[in-house]
Amino acid sequence: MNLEELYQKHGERLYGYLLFRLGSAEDAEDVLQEAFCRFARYSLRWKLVRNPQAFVFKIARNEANRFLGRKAGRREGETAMLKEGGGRFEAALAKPEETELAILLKRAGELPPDQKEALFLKIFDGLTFKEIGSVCDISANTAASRYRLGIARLRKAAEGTSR
Amino acid sequence: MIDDRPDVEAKLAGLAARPAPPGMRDRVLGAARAVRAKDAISPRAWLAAAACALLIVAALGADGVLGRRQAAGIAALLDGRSAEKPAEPMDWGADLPELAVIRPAVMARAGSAPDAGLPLRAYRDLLKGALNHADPEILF
Repeated sequence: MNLEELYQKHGERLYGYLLFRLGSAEDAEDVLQEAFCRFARYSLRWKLVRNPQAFVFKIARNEANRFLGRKAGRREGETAMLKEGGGRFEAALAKPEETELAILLKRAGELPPDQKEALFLKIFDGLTFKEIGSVCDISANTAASRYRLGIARLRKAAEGTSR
Repeated sequence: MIDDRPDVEAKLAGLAARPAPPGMRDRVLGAARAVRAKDAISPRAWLAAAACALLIVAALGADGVLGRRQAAGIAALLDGRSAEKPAEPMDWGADLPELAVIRPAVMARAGSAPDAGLPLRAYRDLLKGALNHADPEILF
């Protein structure tokens, strides 16, 4: 696998996803670097990969989890992830100028972690439900229902604020 | 009435992602290339591995050829005979003085030449029940 080509296709989006997961630009870059080092070692494994997009996101997710585990200890790392909500939209996205959008982003940040992740991977990374399921170790149906629940909550919140 | 307000999905999709820090691409790819170069097998190691593989194959081939040659040599020495020595009939009465008394009777009964060996079976048949008698003369 050509590393330059891989970065060209997925590098920036992986960085965005890692920013969302970790909340820090330095950590996201470190983990992205570790993920690419892993890709470099997988010269034979690439031949068996059916969906490279799902594969790279899954590797990046695993690396992020490992990083959090190393950073604060396994148990504490998981607790920290849950406490932080398992993803931060405001870290990965530029601050919107419109108040309505800022409120929407705030509401999105209040969603449960699994719904937030499904939303991020679908809207900002363009993954299919099948790919999201593969990345998060869930079925495509579960990924779809998480996404729809998240969107439904945001719609409800948006209707509430617009009234 | 059609709702023309942009949906939350479209609104979220319109948000811009934070840009990557400058130079990140080179740092990430540089680290990945370094790992790939470190993990790659050097030409010298490839040569050593290939030489070892060739040696193993040569040793296995030579073993087969030598084995066949050795078998052919042994066959030539034996001139087609088997390496095992055939068992010769043993004359049990010749070596045991106790049996020498009945040897002529055994010879006569078996119809063998006087110098030929006799099988143990012939002695056994003659001696059946003889141990119950003190004097072997009774038998003959």
